Amino acid sequence: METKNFKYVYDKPEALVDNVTHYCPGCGHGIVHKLLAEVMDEFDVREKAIIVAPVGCSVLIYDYMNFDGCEASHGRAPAVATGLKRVHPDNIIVSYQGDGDLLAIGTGETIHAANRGENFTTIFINNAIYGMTGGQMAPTTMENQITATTPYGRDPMDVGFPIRGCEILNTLEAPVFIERCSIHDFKNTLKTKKAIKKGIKNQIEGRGYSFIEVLSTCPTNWGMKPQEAADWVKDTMVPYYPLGNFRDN
Amino acid sequence: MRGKPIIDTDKCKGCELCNGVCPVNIMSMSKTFNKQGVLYSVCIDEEKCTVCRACAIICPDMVIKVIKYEQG
Amino acid sequence: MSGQILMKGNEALGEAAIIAGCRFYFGYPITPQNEIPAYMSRRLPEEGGTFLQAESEIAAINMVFGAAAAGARVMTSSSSPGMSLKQEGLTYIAGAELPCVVVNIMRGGPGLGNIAGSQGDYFQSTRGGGNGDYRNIVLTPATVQEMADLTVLAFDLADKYRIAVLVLGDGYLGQISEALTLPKPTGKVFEKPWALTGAKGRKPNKIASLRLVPETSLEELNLVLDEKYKEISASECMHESYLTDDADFLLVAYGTSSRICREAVTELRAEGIKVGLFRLITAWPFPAAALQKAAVNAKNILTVEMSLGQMIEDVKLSVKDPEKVDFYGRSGGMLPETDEIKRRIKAYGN
Repeated sequence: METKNFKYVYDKPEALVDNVTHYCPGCGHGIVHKLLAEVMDEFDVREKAIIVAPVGCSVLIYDYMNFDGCEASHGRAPAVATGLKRVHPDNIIVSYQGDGDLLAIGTGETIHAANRGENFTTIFINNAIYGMTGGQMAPTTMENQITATTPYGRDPMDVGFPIRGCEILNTLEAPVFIERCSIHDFKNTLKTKKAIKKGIKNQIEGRGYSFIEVLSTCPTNWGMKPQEAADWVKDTMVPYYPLGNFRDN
Repeated sequence: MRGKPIIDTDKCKGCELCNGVCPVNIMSMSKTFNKQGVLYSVCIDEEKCTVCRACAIICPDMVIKVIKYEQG
Repeated sequence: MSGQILMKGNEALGEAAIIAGCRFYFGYPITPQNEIPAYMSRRLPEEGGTFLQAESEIAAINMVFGAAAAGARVMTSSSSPGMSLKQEGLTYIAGAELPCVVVNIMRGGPGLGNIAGSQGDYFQSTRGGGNGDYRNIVLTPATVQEMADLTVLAFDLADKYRIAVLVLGDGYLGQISEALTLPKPTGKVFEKPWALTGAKGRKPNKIASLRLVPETSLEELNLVLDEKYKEISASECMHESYLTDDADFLLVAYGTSSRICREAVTELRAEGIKVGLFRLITAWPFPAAALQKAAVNAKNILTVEMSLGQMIEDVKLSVKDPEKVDFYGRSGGMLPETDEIKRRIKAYGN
């Protein structure tokens, strides 16, 4: 057999641990974890990075990132990140949070960390559901979407409309970067990486608070195959949660 | 042949996302099960691989690496 | 006396924290402890430190979690209703074994209660307070001098054991002005190789209380914590015995109520009645062995609290004859009265 010289054009980032995650097949968390690790490698800041984990499916993210990691109680990742960053302003701090964490139980912490312009980066995974606890309604659950706690579909007259995180934060003066992305296809996944990269770059340069919302999938709790879930993001979520940059100061 | 995906079949959870993003439709699923008990990702025609990396980038489980053959 | 200055309890505590090397403070306004954040907001920038008024008590304690995880000496302060909110952070701090100092200048409860001094949070403070199986060290100052001295000690104990140390004062102690000699730094240095500083030249550090597999690692953590609590119980109990050696009657109290008891002891002794005071300095660990010893010859033991009876449970658990233990307390911001203590002690003698 002929042997050829070759090089890796896609390889595991050093900032990612080489293990099998607990995530379900097709779960968007795995994709975003990789993007974050790649960005840490590209800026060569793995040895300065600290990930703040949320409560939710990605509670164990510190087991998948090959850098320091910190737990936070449900919704408090921005407060924990604030404490870490105030002590170590030169470290690279990322709060990684789901929709229940960031926009339900932790709404206050989210808004006030953003409003203070804390110099850390938030990655907000919006998959319109509570994954870890078994598919309950999230603040971002779509109108009429059936979940474990909205068996007749989300009724906005009863439990309110889905909340748009980027738009809320865009009313604040301090944040320097706000963008909504998606990982439902290859092209948008690359855009997501670009946004994360900008968010980390801002932090390295000491510019202030960056917020990257990622529309993501939960095939298991949505009751869909992974590709169907990706299509559902495109067809159902994107029209309500428009993709794009809200702020890039 | 420009390059190809290297698939760590035992890590594959069988989500099939790589099948959907491949621009030349050379990603498919196996006929047998891996250690995790799922049908895993396979490349059925490496000759056609464009080394675009889409399968690797979309993979949530770091199953796929991509190599490119050097010229000459 | 040279070197003495006049300070409010809350401010003396704040200065002592700075002396102890605390450079990070996160808090939320609540009466009657507002002098602490005000003092820290003025002093910490002078020392190159960080004062941050958080958006809530919960945010403040979680900022403390983050700063403690980063390896800093960090403090927050609050008062009773605010302490209820902080319990979430405190249980995570216990599980993640993070050192920090948390001040509770107690006020009346339950609920919003009032803003006067109280000792109604004894159970909450000494039993952990949040979910799960844990303890915090609880120091109970009785003077402005002790507000300062015990705060300095609190930082060393926190770092030594990787534990939250509560300084449990009350509204009266916080507001009173007294002369004190500012404490000196202890100079103790505690290495923190576990702290989150970035994984440069080492494996990544993880700070977490989560232990998902119950039969192995969570019980393991619980047992590690239990060992630590046993060690603290064996090594760190503190109390003051005041005229207890020959005492026929023993008063047991802490904090502000112990000051009233001391006055009663002085006046009763002047009348020839042999009464002594056993004063807690640590409420957890509870100085049970010392109390048992001090109570051996007492005919009656009167527990005096600014609550309707919380510490009395620990007193009864400590002494050989729990039926000897009696109670006098005032609540809702009211103070126990010297005359009533004297009346009761005299009644035992008849």
